[in-house]
Amino acid sequence: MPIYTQTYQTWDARFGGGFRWLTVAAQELRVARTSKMYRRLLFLSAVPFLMWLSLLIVTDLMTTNPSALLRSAIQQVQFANVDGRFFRTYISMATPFAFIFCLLVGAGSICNDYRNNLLEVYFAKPLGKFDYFLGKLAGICYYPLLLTAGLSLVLFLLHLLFSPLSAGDFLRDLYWVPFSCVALSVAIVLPAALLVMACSAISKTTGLASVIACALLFMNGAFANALAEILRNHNLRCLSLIRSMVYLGDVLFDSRTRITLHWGWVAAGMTAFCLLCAVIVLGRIRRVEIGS
Amino acid sequence: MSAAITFNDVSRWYGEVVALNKVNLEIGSGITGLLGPNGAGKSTFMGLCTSQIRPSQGSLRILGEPVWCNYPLLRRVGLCPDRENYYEDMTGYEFVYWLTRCVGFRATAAKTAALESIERVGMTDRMHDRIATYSRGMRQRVKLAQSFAHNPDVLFLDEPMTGLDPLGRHAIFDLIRALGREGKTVIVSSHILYEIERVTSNIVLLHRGRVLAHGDVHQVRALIDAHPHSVSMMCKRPRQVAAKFVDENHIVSVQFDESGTGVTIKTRDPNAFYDRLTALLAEGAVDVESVHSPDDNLQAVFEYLVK
Repeated sequence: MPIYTQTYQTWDARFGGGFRWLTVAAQELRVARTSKMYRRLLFLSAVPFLMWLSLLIVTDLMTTNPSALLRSAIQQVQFANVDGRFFRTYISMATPFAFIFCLLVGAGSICNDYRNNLLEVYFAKPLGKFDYFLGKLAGICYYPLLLTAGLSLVLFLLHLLFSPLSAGDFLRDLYWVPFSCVALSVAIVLPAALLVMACSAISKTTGLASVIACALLFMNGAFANALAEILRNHNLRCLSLIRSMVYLGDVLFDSRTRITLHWGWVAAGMTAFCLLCAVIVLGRIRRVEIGS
Repeated sequence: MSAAITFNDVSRWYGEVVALNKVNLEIGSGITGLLGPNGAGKSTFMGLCTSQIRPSQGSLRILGEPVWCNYPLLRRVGLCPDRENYYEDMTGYEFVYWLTRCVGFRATAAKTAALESIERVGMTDRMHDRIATYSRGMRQRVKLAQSFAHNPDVLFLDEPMTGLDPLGRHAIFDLIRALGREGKTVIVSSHILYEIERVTSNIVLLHRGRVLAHGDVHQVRALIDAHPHSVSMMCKRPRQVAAKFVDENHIVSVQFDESGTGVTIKTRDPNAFYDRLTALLAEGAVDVESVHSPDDNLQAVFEYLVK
């Protein structure tokens, strides 16, 4: 039969749900897991959690114990008081690991796809730019969020189980802690992940992306501190991304701070920063599609 | 009956460079060869058809639907790009499986589809080895497998024979023909006329972003034969060889190599020339070491057509 008179075959494949970005995220994690450094860091990042877990269990069991001597000894140890600050400190301990994970997974996320010409294959599939972006972001944020928000919530639940207080009293005192833990974790991980993604999008190699991301973080901090010192205005420290994260943590966990700026401005600044990074990433993805 | 692919006045330019210029085409199902030298616009053509590039002007439809960002349509389209596109540390199976998942297949369906397509390209034995350990031909096969694993209706194969050994080429030719027989629309791009001839007689010739010719390959070859056909021969006594041909009416010119061991003859009738050469060789009248046609390639054809 001449080919012009043939018709095409009826398409009869069955497809899953619309969360195709999950496939991109899973692939991102799979690639990360092949790195020895990533696997070692996974073990290392569990150390703060195990320390805090031990402290929590010892504290809860000892305070439940009728021995007044032990109870008073425990109460003398500052960290042993399980309150909002306990969880905040855990997140602070886990933050460097979260940053390193963002760098490890995110630095090569886009530049490696460029190098391997994978964007061409990705976008020949029914994957939109947003699917790709969201998948990459989810892949980068997955473990850092698990480490900070996830494990702090696990600590909270364990404390709920082992606390000498009744569940009702405990939740009445610390009901806000889970929300604060999640909010602070997001405030830490999301800007870091987007920064690393943006650096990856504008770099050619993983190493260069990591260097640019670290340099931007440190230079930004140094600039903000210098400006704050010169103008004798503590609020200017919030120009630093890291200081902004710390400040939001102070606000969320009701800690003392020398910064008097309303937290809304800092949150707005960080949101603007995230949007800028997202625009850089999406712009770069679009450019490679058209220019290929 | 509507064509599977319709280009309606489609142009695409990058700054001042025009990659495709007012292309009007209708391509039906079956296999179509997309031919053109480097820079002709083949990859742009493929990019437009797979929603990676947006037309600067005009409209493009596949299976009756507009292409740009049409994700349901892209599920029915497969692409085997010409460039290397791999994660080196992945196995061939993982690569095909993962890209099939990207199309939207559920895990079990993707597994089955990946295994089937890998089997069709003859990579089952090595599918669990890392891509980094694959030869170029094996990589090409895996790339091909991912392009049709999701059973697309329209398949774009950009230089699919690159890096394949003769046996591998033969297998891939068979596979492409089988895909065409299944009723799929298969667009095979190549700059080697011979490769296309093996799988289809229907071609689209692109040059500098324009469609130079579109139709049956034999008609295009007829255009080649309308021009003098060059045949170069390496031999010890080129003047003696030339003397056997100069009295033929179809001979246009004879040119001797400066080295004195070769002669290039231009003929208007290559069939008559080769018949005469075969007869002379059979008689032992001439001693020819090698014969080749310096203008028997697509680039030469284009040059003739453009002139």
